Amino acid sequence: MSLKRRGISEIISTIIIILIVSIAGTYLFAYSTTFIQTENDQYLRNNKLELGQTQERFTVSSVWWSGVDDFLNITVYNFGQNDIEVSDVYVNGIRVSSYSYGRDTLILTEELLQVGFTSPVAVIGGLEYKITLVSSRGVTEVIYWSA
Amino acid sequence: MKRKGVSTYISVLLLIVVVIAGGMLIYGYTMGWFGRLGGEGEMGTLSVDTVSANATTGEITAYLRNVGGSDVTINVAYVEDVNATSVTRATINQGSVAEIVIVTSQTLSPGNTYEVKIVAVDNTQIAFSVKAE
Repeated sequence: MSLKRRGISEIISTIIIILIVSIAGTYLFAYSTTFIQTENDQYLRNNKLELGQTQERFTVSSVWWSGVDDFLNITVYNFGQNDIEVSDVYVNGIRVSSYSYGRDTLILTEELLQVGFTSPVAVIGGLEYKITLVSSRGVTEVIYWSA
Repeated sequence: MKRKGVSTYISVLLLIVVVIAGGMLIYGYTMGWFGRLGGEGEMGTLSVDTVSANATTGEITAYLRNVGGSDVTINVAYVEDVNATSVTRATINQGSVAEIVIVTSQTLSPGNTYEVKIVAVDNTQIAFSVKAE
């Protein structure tokens, strides 16, 4: 009976095993740390956003219309705890595309700002319009205004 | 037979030290690549600016704002838990707004309220209700 043994040596097998364990460990470590970091960042961002939205308060103090064209001037009052920006205005659910002033302008707390824009729908005296203001944090304020 | 050289234990210890040192070196070099594992980054967060449902055309139009940390691509929409016929597969960049039109096979009755759910490619979801007019 032959006693000749075949196969890789102990040293080579140990190296291979250590290499496999090291690579797998590095992969697992990198994956888990990145995953945890991403989840943590997402949680912090959402928390910050929700807190900001909760502390945000604004209202439309007045709406001015000349009575001849579709230009509207709305006055926004920020009575919340955060500075805000009016990012978008919708009239009857249609997004305003033409602004003259006031859009994306910082409104400090307890301050007023005028936003001027051309209504995307024709403004006719006597009719009621649904005007929606949206801040950069996604907070909406809806008013019903009669021309 | 006289054997010469370091013992098996010493050689294994030496190899472990060498491999750990090499591993740390490789780790340092490859973290840039490995660092991308574990996720593609933050998800987006959607909010509804305004939404309307047209009972005549069967279309639901929503203006969605991305207030999250990454861009979002709309994938599918459900109206009352039924897959919509079509949805605008727009990519909404961070801080941007997109008009999303959802066409449903269901009959929208004026005055009725419908639950709508929109799911993005990265599984960002938003659900809202809309009253058909």
